[in-house]
Amino acid sequence: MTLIDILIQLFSVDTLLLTAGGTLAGILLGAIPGLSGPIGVAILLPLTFGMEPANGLLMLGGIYMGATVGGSISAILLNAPGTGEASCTALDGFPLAQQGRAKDALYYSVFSSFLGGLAGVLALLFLTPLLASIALKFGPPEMFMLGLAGLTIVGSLSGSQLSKGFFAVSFGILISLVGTDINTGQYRFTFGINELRAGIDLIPLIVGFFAIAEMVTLARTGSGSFVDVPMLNTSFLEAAKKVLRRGFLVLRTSLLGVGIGILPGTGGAVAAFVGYGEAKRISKSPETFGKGNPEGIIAAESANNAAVGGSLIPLLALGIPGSATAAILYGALTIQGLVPGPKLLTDYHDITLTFMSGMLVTVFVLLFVGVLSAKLFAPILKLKVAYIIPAVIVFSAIGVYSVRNSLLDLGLMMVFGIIGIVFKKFKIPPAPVLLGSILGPMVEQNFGRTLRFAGFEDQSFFTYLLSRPISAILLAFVVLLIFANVRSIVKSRGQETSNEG
Amino acid sequence: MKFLSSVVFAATFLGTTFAAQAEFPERNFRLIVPYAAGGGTDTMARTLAPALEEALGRTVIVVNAPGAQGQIGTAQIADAKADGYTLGLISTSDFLLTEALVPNVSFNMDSFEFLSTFNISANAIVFNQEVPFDTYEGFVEHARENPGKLTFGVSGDTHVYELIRQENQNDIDVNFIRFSGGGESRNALLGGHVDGLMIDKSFVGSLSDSGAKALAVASEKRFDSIPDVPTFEESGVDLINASRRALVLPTGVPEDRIAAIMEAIDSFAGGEAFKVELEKINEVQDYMSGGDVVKSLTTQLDAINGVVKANPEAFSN
Repeated sequence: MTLIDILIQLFSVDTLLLTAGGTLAGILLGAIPGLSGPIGVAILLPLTFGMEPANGLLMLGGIYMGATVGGSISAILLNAPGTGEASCTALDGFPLAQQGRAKDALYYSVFSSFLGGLAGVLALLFLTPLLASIALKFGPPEMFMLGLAGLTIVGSLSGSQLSKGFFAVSFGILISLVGTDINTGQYRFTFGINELRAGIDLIPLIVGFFAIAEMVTLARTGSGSFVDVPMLNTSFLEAAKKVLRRGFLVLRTSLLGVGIGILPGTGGAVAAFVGYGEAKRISKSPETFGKGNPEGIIAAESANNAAVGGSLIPLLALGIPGSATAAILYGALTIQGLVPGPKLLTDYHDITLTFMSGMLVTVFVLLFVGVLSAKLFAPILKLKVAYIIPAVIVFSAIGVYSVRNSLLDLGLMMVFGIIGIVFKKFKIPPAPVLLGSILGPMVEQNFGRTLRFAGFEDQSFFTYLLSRPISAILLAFVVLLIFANVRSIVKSRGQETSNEG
Repeated sequence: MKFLSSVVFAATFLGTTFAAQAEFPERNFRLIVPYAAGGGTDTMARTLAPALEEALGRTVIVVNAPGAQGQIGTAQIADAKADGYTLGLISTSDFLLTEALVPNVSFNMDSFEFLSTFNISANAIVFNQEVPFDTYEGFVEHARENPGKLTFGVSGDTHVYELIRQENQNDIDVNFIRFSGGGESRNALLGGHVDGLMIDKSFVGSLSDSGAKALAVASEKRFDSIPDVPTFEESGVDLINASRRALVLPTGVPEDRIAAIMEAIDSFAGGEAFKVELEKINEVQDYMSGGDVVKSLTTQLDAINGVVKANPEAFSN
């Protein structure tokens, strides 16, 4: 199959329609708080059974990519991210929207998603075998160290009071302990409720802490329209130029996104958090993060979309899915009679290549549809809060229920909503809670595994970590990160006190 | 076609029972899958659903209720209204281990009406390419010379159970490392972080393509898809542990409704067309229904219970 054959298929009417339709559906689904890539892909999976393999895969790939961007719409406009991927986007996107710059924020998000998505797909097209073999080098000790490195981001997410950030991240880790302890098979903190044995899902936590808490607070204090300041009208090109001026940041966070995406058990959410932390760490004015700094959006969105391509790499090369959505794509491949694994790159090379290059089309569709939808969605802010609040709560509830078809999850959403309101009252940032509950299991499970590995080798925990090159390097990196974070906090403290003085 | 078959069903029952009940099925079905979308049981459910739809004349909606190795969704099936409209597709290996091992679950064998199983699969023992042996006998010898040195990634108690049976019979001692899913454990195998895995035979092809070695499979006879992998019996180890996907109803569904659903399943599940559908998703057809399913599960459960009682600590690490 030559390049021309692939192009002919990609631009044939049905393939193009399915790719574009999937991306559009993904953006719309993602924009609903609580609905996300995995659910969209799972719902539309049966539609692909009758399709040609590449067409079906491209539709699902489009949903995956689109949902990652769609999530940022509700995050920016309503402070109601429905996925871990989008939560970091809310941190600076929502303040921007409150300042009347919702369109800017949406454009930043769309364009950096485009760039990040492009980076991910290019990596998928050209570096799949290489990156897949790198991913394999990451065993439990390495994943443990990576998780620790991720947790150091708490410094970046804490605002001015580090103690509150630490409290929040610990709360998140505590939440993640509920359920089955993988290393021993024991049930923890289930309080006799059998359903809690499966642990607490991230989606009710996110929706509770963000959407529900935001809407209830709004119902108590707000009236009139959602944003009172006049909405500024920026052109997309201006916003794109601003993003391109931060090209180095985009490149950096995109590479991080690809790298994190290829590792099993991670995904876009981790990528977004790490990208955000990185942007704040290298920024010259870190104190503006969380108050509407475009770099926060740019970093988070380029990282999480880069992770889309990244997570497909081990799936296509080794048959190992790199994220929850990639796991469903595994099923889609199987149903098409394809065996995910090395043969995809050899025996089924035609379909795989068409799929990979079609993801490029997806990225461009995403740019086009994203810009249009920014225009379409931004006026939501002019609606009366009396309409927005019930709509968001209803959609959130539907989204949360559909994740596991569980009523318990709805209850948890409400409980976390109430806790979220209390957090707001005491000015405790919610983002570290998510960070803790996303990374908690990764750190804890891999810590347990590493301990056992070290025991099998009759080594102490630290000598075992140091005996493996990558984990040793990561250990040094984590120490540096903590040091750098402490320094920047001390520095920004100094600035704040001098500002006040 | 759907209309026609529902007319046929209605006609069949009008003759034998009350008119009110004769209308079954009068609405859509729900098929609860206790695993996430994209997994093996889910894939099977999505292959099964269209065939069931055609035979029952009603839509069958697949509902994923994942968590805790299937416990959450399986409990949902058991607790569902026993009106015949809620079906469940469970994985027998997880179900049996939960039954034998897990305290305080809200269901047991008696909570379900076992309608049928459609496929047969089994786990294979697979090693990464760096281990210094190429046969099962070589593995046993190596493990005896290096007690406590070989490490296995496990993601589920079935894997632990099957490894313990091998330890006992071969007089060897290996280590377990638990992973939260098959993706993570396959990554650990191919990356050389663990030496071996027990894993469903459908993953063997792709793992072998990446250089891994499959040395034995826990079935009665070899699978056509992996003809070079001998059974454990061929290597002198008594380990047959079939894993199937069973279609179940909660206990208490009226007899006539069970019969109607059974008849629908019988119309396709053993046939050639469905065999082809199963082959597409890498599954081997092996149709059993009613009492045969219960008998086979009871035999398996007895074997599992024996091992669990003799090695209680092994299962909690």
